[in-house]
Amino acid sequence: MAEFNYQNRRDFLKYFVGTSAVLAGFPALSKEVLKSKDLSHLTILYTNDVHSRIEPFPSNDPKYADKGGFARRAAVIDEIKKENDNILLLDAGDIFQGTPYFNLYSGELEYKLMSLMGYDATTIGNHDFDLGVDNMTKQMPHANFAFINCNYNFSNTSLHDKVVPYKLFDKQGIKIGVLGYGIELEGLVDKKMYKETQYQNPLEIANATAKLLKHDLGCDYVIALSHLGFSFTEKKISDSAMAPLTENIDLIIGGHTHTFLEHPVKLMNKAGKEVYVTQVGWAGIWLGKLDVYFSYNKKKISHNSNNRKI
Amino acid sequence: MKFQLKILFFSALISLYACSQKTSVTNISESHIVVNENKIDSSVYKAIAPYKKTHDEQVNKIIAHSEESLVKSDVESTLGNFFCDAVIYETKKLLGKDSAILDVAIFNKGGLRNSLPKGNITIGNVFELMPFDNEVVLLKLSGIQFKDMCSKIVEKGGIPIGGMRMTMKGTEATNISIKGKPFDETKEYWVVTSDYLANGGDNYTFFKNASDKKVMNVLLRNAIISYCEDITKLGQTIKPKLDGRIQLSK
Repeated sequence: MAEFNYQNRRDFLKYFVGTSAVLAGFPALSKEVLKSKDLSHLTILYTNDVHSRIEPFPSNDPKYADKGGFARRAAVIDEIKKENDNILLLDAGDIFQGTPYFNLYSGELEYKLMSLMGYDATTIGNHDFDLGVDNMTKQMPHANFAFINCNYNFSNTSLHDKVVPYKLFDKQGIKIGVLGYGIELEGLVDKKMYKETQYQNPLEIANATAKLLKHDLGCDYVIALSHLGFSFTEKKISDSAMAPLTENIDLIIGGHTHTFLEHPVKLMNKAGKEVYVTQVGWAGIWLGKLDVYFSYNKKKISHNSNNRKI
Repeated sequence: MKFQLKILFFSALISLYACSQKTSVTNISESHIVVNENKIDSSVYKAIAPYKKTHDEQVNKIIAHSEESLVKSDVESTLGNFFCDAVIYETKKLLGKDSAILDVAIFNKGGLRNSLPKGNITIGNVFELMPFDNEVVLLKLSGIQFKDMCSKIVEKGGIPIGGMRMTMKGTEATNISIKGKPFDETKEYWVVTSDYLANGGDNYTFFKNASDKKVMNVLLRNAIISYCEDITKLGQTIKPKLDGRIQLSK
């Protein structure tokens, strides 16, 4: 893949240089810019619903024998970092619950390992409330990445100052805005666990937040970390249903429904622009990878996606 | 690291800067890569080690043996049947002389979080099947509430049940029988489930209006572990089965 990405990029640069040479009014690219292989290339790596799958599935597992595992995912990430250090490592929630590691250590190990792996941010899934909102607060000192959500009101909970509605990342001059939103908790999570957390419909808040990121804060690329689910048969808000109603979001990294999407789904948003919806199953069996290429003036020019099976 | 490279799709639609700066995506190429399974990051591995030691001591104990793997599926599943039958067995044990009151077990498919393998079953396997700290709860349902529950089973395309049989006909539940007797809407029935569903979780709202409730103060996971240990003591193994407790009418 490394060769392919690089080749692809060189072809592009060749074309770009050729084209710009004949266009009046385009500033010439400096050699430094052309040489700097990371300037205009952002690699977005992502997981969702890892569900405390610290170790690979055992070899006698009927469905996922020997798949996944944090140490192996970390090795894959290390390899990618060798190719390109312009990386954003994201998660779409439901870090907790699924193996005895969670029952024994309440999520401490999951947060510690994600910090060690260099995760930049996550959003909050319904299962992250499984030992209560206060348990999340208690485990957060083990995490050095951001918790992003804009549609849960935590003001009357211990998480009130621990979760941000969005976060800005500057990757060698490329400005990326990341927002997050989660699923309705009532009927899904016991009230005694989420306590005074108030859910709000994500659509309006997400659009307002994305607008802020794109227009007021000048982001080149806006990513939503969503724990709504890919799609439902019943009438319920999901990534597939919501994406066409959004504006200013370029990529939705989803979770909750444990959907293995071989390829991100490309939809048209409200403004007629492309929005990608992706999700990589669960348990860290795959690592999602999306390469976004930006031109010298920071316009996004190409996507390149592949999801890695671990 | 060995990459298996498979280019699935590549298209170049380079209108690029010649037309307009507004042009954004010019090409998409996707591939899937299988990563060398043996390669690990040593710092992450080392960080796991002390946690793993305690973890392994607790979860690697073998408690039962299964003839086949137990998996989830639509309509009726070997995993769902095993789970419900095991909970009925344990609940009856807990109820002692009152065990005859228990009629039916029902759980949500989403609550069963992993398959069980063929061969040795460890405590760890049961943790992964039922990681939630949910408790065994009994509910007394009216005939009407029971009917609502049956509709929910159909709506969900079949979910784990025990102690009863039914046929899914379109959106309707028909041929309902409980412990071998036809369903009687004028009767009341005791249903064992999780505290999560009993509190209306997964939109099982009719459970919230149950006329009586018994909280057994036993975790579902521990009920399953206890059942496994019991049958092993009796020299039995788990024999996964589909017995037609939920049927699809054409």
